[in-house]
Amino acid sequence: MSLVVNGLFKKYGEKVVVDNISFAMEHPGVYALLGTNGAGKTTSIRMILGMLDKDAGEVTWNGKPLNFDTCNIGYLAEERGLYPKYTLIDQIRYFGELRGIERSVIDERIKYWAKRLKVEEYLYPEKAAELIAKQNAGSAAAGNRAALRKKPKLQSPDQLSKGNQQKIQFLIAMLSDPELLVLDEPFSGLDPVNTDILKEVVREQIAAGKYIIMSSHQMEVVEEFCTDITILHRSKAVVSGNLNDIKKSYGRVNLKLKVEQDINDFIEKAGITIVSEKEHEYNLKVTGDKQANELLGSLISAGINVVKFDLSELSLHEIFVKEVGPVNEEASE
Amino acid sequence: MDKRENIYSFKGFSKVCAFTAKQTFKNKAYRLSLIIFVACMSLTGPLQYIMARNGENTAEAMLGVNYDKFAAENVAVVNTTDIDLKMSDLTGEEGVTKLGNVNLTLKNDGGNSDRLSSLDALVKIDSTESGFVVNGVVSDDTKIPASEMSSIVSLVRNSFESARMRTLNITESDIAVISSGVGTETLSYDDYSAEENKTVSSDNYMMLAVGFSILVMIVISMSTSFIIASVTEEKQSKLVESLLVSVRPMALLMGKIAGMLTYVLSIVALGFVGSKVSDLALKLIFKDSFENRPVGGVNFDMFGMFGTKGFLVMVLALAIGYLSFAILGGIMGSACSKPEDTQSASGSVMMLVMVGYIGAIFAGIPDSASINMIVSLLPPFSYFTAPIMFVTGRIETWLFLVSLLIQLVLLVLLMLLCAKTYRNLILSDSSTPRLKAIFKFAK
Repeated sequence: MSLVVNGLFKKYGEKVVVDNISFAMEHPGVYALLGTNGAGKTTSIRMILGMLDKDAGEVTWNGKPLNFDTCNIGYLAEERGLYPKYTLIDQIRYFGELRGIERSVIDERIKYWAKRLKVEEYLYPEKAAELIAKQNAGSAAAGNRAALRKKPKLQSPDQLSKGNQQKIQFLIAMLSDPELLVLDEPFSGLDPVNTDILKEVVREQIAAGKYIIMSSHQMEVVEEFCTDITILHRSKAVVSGNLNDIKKSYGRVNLKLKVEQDINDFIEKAGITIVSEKEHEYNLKVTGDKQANELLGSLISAGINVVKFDLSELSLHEIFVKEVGPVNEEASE
Repeated sequence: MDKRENIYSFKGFSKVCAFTAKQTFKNKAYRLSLIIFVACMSLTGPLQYIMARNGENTAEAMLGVNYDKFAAENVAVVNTTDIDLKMSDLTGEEGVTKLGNVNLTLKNDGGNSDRLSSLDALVKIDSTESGFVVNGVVSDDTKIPASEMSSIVSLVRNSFESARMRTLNITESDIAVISSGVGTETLSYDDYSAEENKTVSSDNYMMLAVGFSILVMIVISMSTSFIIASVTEEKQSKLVESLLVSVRPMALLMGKIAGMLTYVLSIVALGFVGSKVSDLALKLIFKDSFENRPVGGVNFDMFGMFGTKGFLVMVLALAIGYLSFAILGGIMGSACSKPEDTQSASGSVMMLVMVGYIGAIFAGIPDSASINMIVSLLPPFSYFTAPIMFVTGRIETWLFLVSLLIQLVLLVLLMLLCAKTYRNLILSDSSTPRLKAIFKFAK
């Protein structure tokens, strides 16, 4: 299976919002679509999923135009929404039925995912009752028992917290057991516990051989999962390809060095920039392996004890800032 | 390779329809509306009948002599003529006075000079040159109501008439023939032919036209506001983004509209059954007089007045009218970006509905063939007028079929426009576009 996005182009009036975006996913994994606000990520995703007309370009899944007839798609939109007054279980079933899933299978999957995502108490009255019983366990005097037996009223969707609404939306996206999962800002608004729950699910999906397109501003999260990226800036792709290859192309320029004495003179002499320094632990910016090795050699020659020497590539965050940050912003203007 | 999606696909339509219908019926406000609406429409016909009947009864009571309780205590009838008036003429064969509690006396021998009290009355029958005169006399401070006195004088006059006829040896049946008289009435050709052809008169046509138009207007206004609110809700809550990966715009909107149509048709069906049940109940109570009642106004009874064909025509017209305005509501809803936009969107659709409604009512008054043709063919008037004009025989079958064809073509065009505007506007957060911009999407 493969996903090919070729020459996507869209403009509103005279304004070009997506300008010739192309990428391909030959293998399962996570493809990250990154960019500044308004760079064209969401518009690209909408065109990829066929929600929005393309002015040019094509998107194929196994050689056929990508849409929900040719591919089982799961989508978590950036701006989440639920029907405010319909019960959650009704609307989740509705989404499942729209995907053509049988009612019994839908109910099984809802049960499974509700447990995984820890949202059972918002879907099932008996689970809500159990939770209330647990919370009142200490004070469950005889007088309170009758109140506990009473079936609790489930929260309406508009009463749910943003994070819980997001988990429900994620559940809906997973309901069809999709082969292509598109997650637009999946971790925004989640607390650390729920972030970990979602990360665990994403890891499982990767292991299960799913294709995932992820858009996020949380670079460390993207870096944790993705194998390939495209960085969009002002509607154009400024960086695109395999993340490791991209990193290699920038060279190993981050040097973390820990010694037992002040080495500022050595650093200055080698022409290296100090990013930060704290109790003889330095974060340095070098031009490459050669400059870093020369510094190491000079320190050893001087008999200085080197506790830590970690030469690494640019982080995704740094690559992103380098490509779309203020310097580039000025250059493009 | 075609870069555009098939936005007209109906895949998923039935699921959206079922979900919308289920949620509409689950909604307490809509359930309550249904009950109130059906109850009102079922009972309107019978209520109109009962009110009209009460009016008749009241009028009868005002003019008749069947009072149980009279204010007058003593009524003296003084007959100064040669006609032999008997007490039995006044009281009937059974000897029971028709004046209830009144003490009735009859004198055939001349005047009564006693002074009348406030509860006494004198009815005097005298001969004149031209015939006879019956006068009622009361005291200056009388407490006898004028209507009661009128009834008493009428009774005496009728009794005297019978006595007079008897004196001339004319039988009761002769009296009936003589007093039956000959009525005259001037009818318009329309009313004359309506009676001859057993269709409906102008007055009844207007009742039906107003009734059907109100029904169409109520159904459209109820459902259009729902469609606009629902589309706007999905757009503003961004739900539509999740929906559009499972269902295409046409299926999404049409499913929603069809789901609402289920609710609308349920109202019509329940209302029709309800009106039949209430009619049956009244028929059992009032028998013949209910059978001969005039055409009712706003109720579902009209669906059953013109047989199966009439029923199907009206239901079909109602469905097409509903679909057209609901789709228009969908288009307007997809253009709304803010909650306050929904009011102006509803207002625009309702304005068009009102134009159709008022136009349909006024167009029915002159009953001109050319006006009938124009309003039958021209939307939005045709949604309100064509079916009633057809079932009442005001327009011919071919004209109704052309009208139906125009409505169907317009419906399809609206659907195509809707799919395009829905796709283009539903994901847009920009300011509400003008109508001109919406029609640009048709290109």
